Amino acid sequence: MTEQLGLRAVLPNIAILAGAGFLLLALSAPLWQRRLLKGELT
Amino acid sequence: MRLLLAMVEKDLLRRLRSPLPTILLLLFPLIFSGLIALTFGGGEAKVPKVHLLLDDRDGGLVGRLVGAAFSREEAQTYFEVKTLTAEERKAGDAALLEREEATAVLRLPAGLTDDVLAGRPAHLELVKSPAQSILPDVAEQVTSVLAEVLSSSSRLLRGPLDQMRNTQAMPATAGGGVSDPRVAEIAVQVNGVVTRARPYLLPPVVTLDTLDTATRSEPGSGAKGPQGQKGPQPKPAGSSSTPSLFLLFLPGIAVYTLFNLADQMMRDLLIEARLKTLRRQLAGPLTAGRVLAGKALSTAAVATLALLALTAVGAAVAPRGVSLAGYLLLSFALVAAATGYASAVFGVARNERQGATLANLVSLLMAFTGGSFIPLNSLPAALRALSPFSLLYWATQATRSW
Repeated sequence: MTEQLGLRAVLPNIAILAGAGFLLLALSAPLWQRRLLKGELT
Repeated sequence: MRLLLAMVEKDLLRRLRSPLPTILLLLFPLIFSGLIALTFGGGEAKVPKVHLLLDDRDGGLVGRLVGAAFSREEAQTYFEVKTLTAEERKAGDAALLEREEATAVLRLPAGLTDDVLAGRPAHLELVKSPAQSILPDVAEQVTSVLAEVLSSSSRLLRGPLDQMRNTQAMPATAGGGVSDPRVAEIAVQVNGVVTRARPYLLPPVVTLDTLDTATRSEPGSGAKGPQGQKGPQPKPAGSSSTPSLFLLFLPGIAVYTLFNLADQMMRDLLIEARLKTLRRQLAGPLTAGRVLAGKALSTAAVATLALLALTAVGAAVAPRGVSLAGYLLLSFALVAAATGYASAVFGVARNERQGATLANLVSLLMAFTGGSFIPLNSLPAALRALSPFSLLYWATQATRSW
C-alpha cells in the first residue's frame, strides 16, 4: 500500500505541511484572541 | 464541542446559501489547467519551419545545387526557401528579414562556383534574424554542414573538377557544347572517386534513432519499424499530450485554490466584524477562543470538501489506485497548512482590505516560487533557492507525485 501511493516519498511533505499549518495556527491564535478581547473586531 | 459543531454548521449553511463564489473558485483550477493543456497540448506537435531567404549572387552550378538541396521533399519538412530577386535584394537584409518574417538570409557570393571548382577559399554568408530565438541557430548549423559538404566535395573531387575547369577553358566544339568523349571521361573519373570513397563513407558506422517516451519500445524487445527494421515506431494516431498536461498543472493550481479558499473562510471573521455579527456572537455564551476555533474548523471543513471535489476530478481524468491512509494523511496536512496560513495572514492584517491584499501577495509569491503555476525547472536558480520556504512547494510536490 505504501509503495502504491509513493507514501514514503511524500511523508516529509506531509510532516512539513502539517507542522507548518499547526505552527501558524498556534502563532496566530494569540493575535486573534488579543484583538477579540480588546474589542478591535467588535 | 457541540457548540463548535454548531458554528461549523452555521458557516457551511452560509456557504450553501451563497455557493457561487466557492463554485467559481473551485472551477478556477479546472478551467486554468484545461486551457493550458488545450493551448499547449492539443493535437500533433508541429515542427516550426526555418524560413530561409536565398540570396544567390553566384548564379552558377553551386548556387543551383544549394537551391535544389533545399527544395527536396525531406528538406521541405523543415525549410521554406525563397530565392531573392535582384529587386528584393535592394531592400537590405534587416528590412527583408522583418518584411518576410524570415529566419535568416543565406548569401552565396558571386564567383562561388568558380572558387569551389578551383578549390579556392570561399565564404558563405548567413544573416540571422534577431527576432527569432532557436530557428536562426538551426539555420546556422545547417549552413555550416552545407559549407562542410561543399568544402569536402571540392577536395574529394579535385581531379574531375580540374578537368571540368580545363574543359570550360577549351574552345567549344562545332556544335557549341562539350564533346561526348570529354563528358564521358569526367563522368568516369567522378564515378571512380565515388567508388573509392564508398567503403570509407557508407554505410555509416553510427546512426541516430530518435524515439519519444510514448512510442519507445523496451530495450531488447526487438521491436520492428514500419519497414520491418529496428527503429522508431510511428506515433499512434490521435495520441495527444492534453490529458497529461492537464494533470501536470492541475495539482499545483488546485492547492493554490485550496489556500485561496481557506483565506476566504478566515476573511469571514473580519467581514463578520464589519457587519457587527461577531459582536452578536460574543454577546452569547462564547469565548473569543471558541469563536476562533469554530472559524478555523469551518475553514478546515470547507477546505476538506473542496479537496474532495478536486480529487474526484483528478481521479476521473487519471484513475489509479492510492492508499486511503495516504490520501487522508496528505489531505489532513494540506487542510492544516491552508488553515494555518489563512489564520496567520488575516491575524496579522489590520482590516479586511489589508488582509485580502496581503493574502493575494503571499499566495501568488508562494505559488510562483513553489512551482504551482510554472514547473520548477523553468524557474531561475535564485527563485528555486526560495522554493523550500513556500508551503505551496511542499503541497504541489506531494500532490503531483500521485
